[in-house]
Amino acid sequence: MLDKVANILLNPQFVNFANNTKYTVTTESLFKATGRPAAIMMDNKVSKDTRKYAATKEGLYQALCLVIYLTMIPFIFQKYGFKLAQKFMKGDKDFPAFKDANEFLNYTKLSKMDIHERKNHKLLAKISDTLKANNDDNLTLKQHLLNDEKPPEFPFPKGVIELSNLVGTVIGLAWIASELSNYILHPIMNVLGFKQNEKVQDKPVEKMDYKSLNENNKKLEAVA
Amino acid sequence: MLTPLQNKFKNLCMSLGKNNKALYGALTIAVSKGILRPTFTMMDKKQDRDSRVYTAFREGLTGAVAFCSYIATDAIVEKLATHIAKKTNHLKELPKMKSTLSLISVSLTALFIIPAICNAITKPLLNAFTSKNKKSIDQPALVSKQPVKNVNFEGYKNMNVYHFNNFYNSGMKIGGI
Repeated sequence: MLDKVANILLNPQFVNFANNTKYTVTTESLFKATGRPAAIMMDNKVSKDTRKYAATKEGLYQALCLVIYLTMIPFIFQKYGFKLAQKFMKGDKDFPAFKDANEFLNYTKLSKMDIHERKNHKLLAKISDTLKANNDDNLTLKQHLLNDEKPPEFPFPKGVIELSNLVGTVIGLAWIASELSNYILHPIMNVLGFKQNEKVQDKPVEKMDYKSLNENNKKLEAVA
Repeated sequence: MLTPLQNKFKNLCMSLGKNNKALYGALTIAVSKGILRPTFTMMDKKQDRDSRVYTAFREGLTGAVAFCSYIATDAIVEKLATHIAKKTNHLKELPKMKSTLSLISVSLTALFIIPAICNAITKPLLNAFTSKNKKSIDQPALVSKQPVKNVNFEGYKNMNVYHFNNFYNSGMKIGGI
């Protein structure tokens, strides 16, 4: 039994997935986007309409945040994070001169494949013919991919990508996506027919008419 | 020759590149949302102050609960990973096992544990820390004298900070982050 569990936990694809910040944040957000609305709908203490409204809003909020985050990560954070790190660590022996983040990610994908699968893969054309791990290496990285069972791995640039994703999580997911989704959420909720609830929600507290309530109470007491 | 800053940066990236865990992403979200969202809430001048304090408190609390829950569940999962690795003779691959189990624990924590803890402790803590909110809960006697047909549902919602709709109204709901 434990052996089966260990095999699942050590499955290379699962390990690769769990080591990638973008994938793990996506998984967590998907759990929230589906699990929380389900939890809200199971709360029988509240009216069905209210539950429906809260669950729809929660699910949409999480899903929108995720879409915005996933759109921003490759085009902004990975791209510019990688470039900045290359400039900052120029000439470091552990950071080969990949053209950009995409070339590094393509190399990583290929290096995890079986050597036979790798040889005819279309991604191979996207790796530079002259790129070397460092100046002491006689072979180019492409030659390593074609000849080695296990081509060299580069934890430093991989860490740069992960760090960029983490920074993207703070700026993109926690800040920009949260704010943007609040603007997008309301029109979508309107389209879905939750207009009345939204009006109630947006009403500021100071509009509560205590004065008229008090007067009403006094009238009722007088009548009684 | 690397400068001290370059060295620190390199060490951080090397460590992330070799052994990244789902926990780091989850903690980043917990901390950043736990700080940023209450800050933005307090800056929103459209809402009245009590309402802002209540929402910001709940959001900050959710961040704190999430942070502690992730740390606690990850500590348990690390022990579990060591146990499984020992029993199955995979000690060399323990870091990999920890990272996959970390992903599972983070997902389950976000789904079940954080919402459950938040639901259980938000009300008592709010009562303890925000005396103004507590007063506003005592106030509804004002409304209780209304005949049923005149009950102002909007007013009721606005006065009662623990009303279900208010609880779900500002982005971070049960469990929050």
